[in-house]
Amino acid sequence: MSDPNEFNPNDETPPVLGSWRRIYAVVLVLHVVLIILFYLFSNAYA
Amino acid sequence: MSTIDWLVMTGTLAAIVIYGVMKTRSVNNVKSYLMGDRDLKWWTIGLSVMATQASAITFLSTPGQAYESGLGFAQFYFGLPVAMVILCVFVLPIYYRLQVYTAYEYLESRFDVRVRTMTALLFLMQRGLAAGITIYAPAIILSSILGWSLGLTIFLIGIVVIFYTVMGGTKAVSVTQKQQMIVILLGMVAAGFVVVNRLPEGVGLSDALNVAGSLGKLEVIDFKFDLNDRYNIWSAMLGGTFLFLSYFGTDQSQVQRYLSGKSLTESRLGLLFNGIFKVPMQFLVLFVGIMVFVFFLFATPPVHFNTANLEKVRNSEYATELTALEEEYNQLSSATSEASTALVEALRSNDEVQSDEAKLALADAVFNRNQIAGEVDALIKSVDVEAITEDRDYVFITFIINYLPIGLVGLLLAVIFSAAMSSTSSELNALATTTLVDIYRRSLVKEKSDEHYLKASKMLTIMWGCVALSFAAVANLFDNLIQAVNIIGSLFYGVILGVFVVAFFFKKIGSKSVLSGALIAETFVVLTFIATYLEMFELAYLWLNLIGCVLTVVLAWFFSSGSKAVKRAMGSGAS
Repeated sequence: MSDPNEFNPNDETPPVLGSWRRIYAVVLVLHVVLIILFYLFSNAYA
Repeated sequence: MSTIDWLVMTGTLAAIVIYGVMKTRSVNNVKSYLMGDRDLKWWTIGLSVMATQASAITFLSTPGQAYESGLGFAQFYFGLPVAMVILCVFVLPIYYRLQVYTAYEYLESRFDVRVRTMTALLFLMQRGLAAGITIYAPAIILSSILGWSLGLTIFLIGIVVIFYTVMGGTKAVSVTQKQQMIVILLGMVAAGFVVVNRLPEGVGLSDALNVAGSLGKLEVIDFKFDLNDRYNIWSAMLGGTFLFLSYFGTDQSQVQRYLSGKSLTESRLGLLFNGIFKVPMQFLVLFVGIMVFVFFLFATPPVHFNTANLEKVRNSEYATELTALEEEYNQLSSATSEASTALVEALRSNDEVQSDEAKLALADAVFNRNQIAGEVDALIKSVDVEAITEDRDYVFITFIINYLPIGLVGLLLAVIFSAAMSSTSSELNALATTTLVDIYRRSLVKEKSDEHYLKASKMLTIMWGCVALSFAAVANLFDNLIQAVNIIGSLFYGVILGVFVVAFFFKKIGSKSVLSGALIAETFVVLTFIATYLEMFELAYLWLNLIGCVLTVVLAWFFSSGSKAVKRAMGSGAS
């Protein structure tokens, strides 16, 4: 049995998307999209 | 500078400081002073984290970097969002669970007080010197451009920062940083609009991008793997992630920002906010630099952007040569302007042959102009061998002073002063907190009243402020100051990160092993640096970060395994 006073980071749910895992995925996907946009931008004006 | 600009600049800065002091009047205990009542929302944390990282030199140097080398520098920050996610998953929950004031406090619960004290001392040495540079580096540029005395500029920045940081502690730092970051972003966006509007009539944003692209200035991504190239996607994703993990995870000036959050959720959201917006913000700053570059293809830039260097030559026996070179440069600038206009027209006509010819003509004109600038650099060196001829840090400030409309000049100068103050206040706050929590209260003066520690915190902030100001005041005695501080940072940063890597990811390694590993690794790093300094072999100082970290982890693991093997041998011998 776990200690009721033990700190559990998952107790704090994020305000949107339901889980932290989804929020992290959104941040990383946005970053990949940004890099792809930079790549397209570089190519467009190369 | 006009009276309106003076009013805008001083009014903006005074409003931020007064707001910060008013909002933190209730700070009357040490926890509130060091942790800001832990009531900050995610947007304040996010802006505060961004403001701490973005020093004044960022806003002076980065547009100049784009002016000279294009947008490739944006890649430097590609590892940052990854680092933010890793910190949110692994590091923040630990700091929150232990309710620590400093990152080094965690090391005592994981190892013992010796590891905590050693790491705190390494941080204090490194950050104490860096705080002086954070004031000195923009002061030397601002004093040169505004015609102020360097000492007065350093004193003004330092004294204002010390005042509000001492008054309101961590909360004052975060609250003022939120306002400072808003001013910084508004100022940069306004500068971007103005520079596009100041392009010649008939030349729009699309034309400017086509011209910049033709000269290879818009290549953001470089997929080529080259260990000697500082900015490509591989070094950014591998080395950059590593660098940002250590900076945001173990540097108290950053840790203190997100530890003052209302909850773990707010702190996580603050860091992720930084992860999402940092790269676009850096891109915006670089983009402004690119537009300034295009602007100076049509308008004539100074032959050298650091006016202090030019003045030295004007007052020397080489004055006549300089005048001749300036005349030639102005003629070549007219040719560059004509070639730029020809390229815009050729690109609009969609005639490939004509466009290629116009591109070559413009590249040739820019090359010729740069040749003359190189000859002026040589003249500057003839007058003063130790003069720094690299003038890219002066490009953006020159544009601000000479080409922005009245009012906006004041706002942009407020941007640069805000950036200087926001980074310095974080540093002073972190230095005072670490000295109080990890050294003074932990090992020197225990069990005193809250009032005593509050007073001590304020005195320590003043003390570190004076150290930073003193170092900034004598900084010109050192030949290459920024490099000197980066080297000092590289001597310690790797070992600090190594200790934290062991703490987080090698749970079976104890304090004795990590302490021995860290001390040997630090000695090795210092000896390696001395060997390179004596030219026994060549090694770029940035590698010292990696060597320090890897060596600490490997040695700690080795000592830990060794001691377990000895214990096992003794155990089997006894049985």
